[in-house]
Amino acid sequence: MVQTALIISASALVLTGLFGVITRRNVIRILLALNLLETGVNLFLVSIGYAPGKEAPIVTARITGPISPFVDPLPQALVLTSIVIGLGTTALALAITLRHYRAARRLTLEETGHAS
Amino acid sequence: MKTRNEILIHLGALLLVAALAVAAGLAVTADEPGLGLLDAGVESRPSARYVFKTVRAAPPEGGAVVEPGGKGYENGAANIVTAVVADYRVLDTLGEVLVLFAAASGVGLLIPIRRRSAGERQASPIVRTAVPLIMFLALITGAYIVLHGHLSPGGGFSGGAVIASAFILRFLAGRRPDPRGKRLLSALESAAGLALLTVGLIGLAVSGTFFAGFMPQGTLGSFASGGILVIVYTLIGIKVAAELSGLSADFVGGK
Repeated sequence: MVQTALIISASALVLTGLFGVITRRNVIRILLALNLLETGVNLFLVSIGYAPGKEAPIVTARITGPISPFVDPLPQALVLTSIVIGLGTTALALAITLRHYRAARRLTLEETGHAS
Repeated sequence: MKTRNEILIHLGALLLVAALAVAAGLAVTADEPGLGLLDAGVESRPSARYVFKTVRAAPPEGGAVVEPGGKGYENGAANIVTAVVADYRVLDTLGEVLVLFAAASGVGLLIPIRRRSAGERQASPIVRTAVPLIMFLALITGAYIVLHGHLSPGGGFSGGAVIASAFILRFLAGRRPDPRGKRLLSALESAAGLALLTVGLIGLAVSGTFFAGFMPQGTLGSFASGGILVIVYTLIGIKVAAELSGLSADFVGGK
């Protein structure tokens, strides 16, 4: 149940981000939408690893027995990587945006070549 | 500027999003056996092996179970996510660090340092007095998170980000990064990267595998546990902190 709710939220984030990336013209807004999309993907990955009634994958003194009492740790490790890569790409994209703004004096992406 | 093209793009995007939403809904609600997204339990996934290998001596089927506080496990880090990131899949993490390095270098290349005019905007005395105190607390918290990545949630990346936030706070309070500090940051970053590779090469020399563990696992749950994991994550923490500070210094601009 929790997992379904998480996946629905993740899909909503991904779809919102996708809509923003396709329809916006302001570069900053496109980057915001891209980050929304990325957050949705991260949430989806974490929710794939969720299992009802299980604990965070950290061994404490309470945990004994042969059956794994943890949620899946692998998607969480993947999401850690994904967050860091997302930070790097966003920083690089913002630097390119700054360059674009200094050259063109505007933040929108316009078609060039014919009058509008 | 509303053109007919733009309306078409909006309509197309709406249609695409609606179709994807229907597909996602179908995938979530599928309940035939073997088709549902959530069918496979943790025990039947590859990560079950990581879970058991980290803190137990033998795979789930058969073999002695090592309880917390005992000895004989492969990795010995209480935090299994950290064990995956900084030990089992450390090669991926090395690649991730390289991607972050490439992005930081790209930012430094794309934003040339410009000379600022003399009339700097100064923060108020309250901010200027409070910033060193908050920086001190942020640095201590960051160092704690970096060093305890194998015991509690956190590690090199999150702790490095906390440490970098202390420097970002200083930039926000009006202090411009000076070139000497930037040189120091990049020297620190390069040293941490080289040390990380050296740890991998020592593993290669000792047991023939890149990043093989060459230190004792220690007692599960104590600070001295996890083998090379603490060293690897501390180096990553230093590198990430230096990289993010340098990145924000690039954006703030220097003298």
